[in-house]
Amino acid sequence: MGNKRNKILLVILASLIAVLFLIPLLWMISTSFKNDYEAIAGGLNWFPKNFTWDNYTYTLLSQAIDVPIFKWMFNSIFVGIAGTLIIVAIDAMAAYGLARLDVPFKKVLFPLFISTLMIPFVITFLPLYMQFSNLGLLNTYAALIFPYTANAFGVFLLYQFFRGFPKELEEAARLDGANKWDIFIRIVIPSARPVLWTLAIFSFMQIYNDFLWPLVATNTPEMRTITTGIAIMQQGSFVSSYGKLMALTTIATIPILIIFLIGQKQLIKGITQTGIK
Amino acid sequence: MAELRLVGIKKVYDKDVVSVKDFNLEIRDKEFLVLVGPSGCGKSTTLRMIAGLEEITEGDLYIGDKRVNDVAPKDRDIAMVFQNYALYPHMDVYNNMAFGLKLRKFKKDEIKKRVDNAAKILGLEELLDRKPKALSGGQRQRVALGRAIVRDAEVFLMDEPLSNLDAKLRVQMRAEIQKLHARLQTTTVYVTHDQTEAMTMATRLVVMKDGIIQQVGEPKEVYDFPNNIFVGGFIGSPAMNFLNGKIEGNHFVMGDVKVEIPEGKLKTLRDQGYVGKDIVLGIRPEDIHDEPLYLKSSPETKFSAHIEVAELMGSEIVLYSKVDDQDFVARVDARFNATAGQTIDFAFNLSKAHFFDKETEERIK
Repeated sequence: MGNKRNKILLVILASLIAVLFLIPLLWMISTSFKNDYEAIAGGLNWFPKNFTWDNYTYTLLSQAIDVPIFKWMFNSIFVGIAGTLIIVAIDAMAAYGLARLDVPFKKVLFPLFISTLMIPFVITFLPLYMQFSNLGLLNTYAALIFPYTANAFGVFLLYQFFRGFPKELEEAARLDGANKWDIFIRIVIPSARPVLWTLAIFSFMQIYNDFLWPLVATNTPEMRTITTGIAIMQQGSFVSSYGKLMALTTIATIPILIIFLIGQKQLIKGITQTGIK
Repeated sequence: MAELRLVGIKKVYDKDVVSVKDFNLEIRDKEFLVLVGPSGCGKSTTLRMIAGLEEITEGDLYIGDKRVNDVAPKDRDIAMVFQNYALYPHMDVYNNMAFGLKLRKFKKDEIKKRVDNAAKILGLEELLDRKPKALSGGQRQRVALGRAIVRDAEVFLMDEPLSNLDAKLRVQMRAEIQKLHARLQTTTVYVTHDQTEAMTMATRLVVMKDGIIQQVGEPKEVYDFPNNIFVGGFIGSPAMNFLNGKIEGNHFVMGDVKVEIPEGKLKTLRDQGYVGKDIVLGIRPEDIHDEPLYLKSSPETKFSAHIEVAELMGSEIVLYSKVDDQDFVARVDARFNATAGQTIDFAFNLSKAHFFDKETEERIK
């Protein structure tokens, strides 16, 4: 009895929170279908009085705005995917090594890795900027990708998983004739799929959503990512045109949404596996 | 040809923790050898050294005529079954069994032939495309066995393979493993802490304690003639009773209770100078009787005692009682209706009992 009531209360609470999170998103979508006058006029009209696709057609198809929106999307997605792949590959190997292999000084290395999580980005970003500047890599994909790939979060997340990974599975594989690489690739990685997905989704979102670094690391319109692009538009062509701005932001959320939908199941599995266990 | 020889094997962890020492053992071809002992006695470590999963600190390990100390696990021609099955969670049953063969670059149809054959032996034919998650504990254990079978290895190593199963399934799988051994005749080393498993399955068993072999022998021999108090107490359930007393004349005396020692045993004790000394009597619960006929025929070992607890097991009753304030357990026939609270007569069958030195705890032979 009581159990069931608790469950109902929990569901209601969860729904409320979900709605709370959804409101800005829905408002964004709603606004993207309003004309400029209605968008600016305010008022809590969730359904546009004069429903219009104009914002989308204008943003995507019009020659009037001279900015490479599709290039921005491409940049963001490309940088996001490339960065994510590198992060997952490096972090998986680093975490497995630290958790399971005889790595010299690993007892010192691991805390050192983790301590970097406590350094806020605002502290490192200027040195990082100068570093890339000195290397002549500013305004390149390398500048947009590599700063993200040195991140201890994934090492930490995967380390926890690999630590809990049953030793017997590795031993069974050893007796079956597998070497360390076989074990890693054919036994450990497939079992870690949900956690790897979790890391991948987090990483992709982090890179895709980031604003500050791409803003300072790039300086030509062609190299901008979608987040910085939106900012440019907000101060440029779309200034005070909320409908178009929201249309652009709505488009920008689509890749994240797709990635999330693909990985959702694995993500939940991954969180429960590493969290509760 | 798969004999194993362990010569002076020693295992030291972290430079000073000795897990196994002075381990000398010959494991015969086709034997089902059981390593048994309480947890922490070094039995699993020994098995893992044979597997190559632990390094051997000292001593030599031979499989056949070949010294294999420095041979990698995969090249030792052994297969191992783990306590928690260690099935690869992302592979179906077929691939779990085939994995080792694939790594060894077997041809596809040979792999299929072997896996199908193992599946047939173990009754897994219907389950080949299932993932381990979708299997019951018993089925998982069978897959783990199948993985060992397909390898056609010289030696099987099993590390407590039944301890994750429920009691009923354990008994069933026990029989199945025995059948499998009878059929395949593969030399097997089996580790367990369960003395019942050890007794029922072993062709020979090795009782270990604190990293040292206490006794090696056939189950019946170990049961009937335990080398020391530890082995006597470990093998058999309920455990052997150990009663402190003294030899006076031709009697074993516990406080006010005197029982007469049979001639043969008495001679041994006398010859070795135990008369008048403190000594330990070891007697199994089934060698303590309460049947009127036995009491009548053995008045020389008769005494009376108060029953504190009586556990009816069906055909027999286990009685918990005291003599000279020392606990003992008797397993008697349920027909005679002994119940808690009664004071009844007991008699020891001393011809089946053993005497142990109080200092060394060794059996006096």
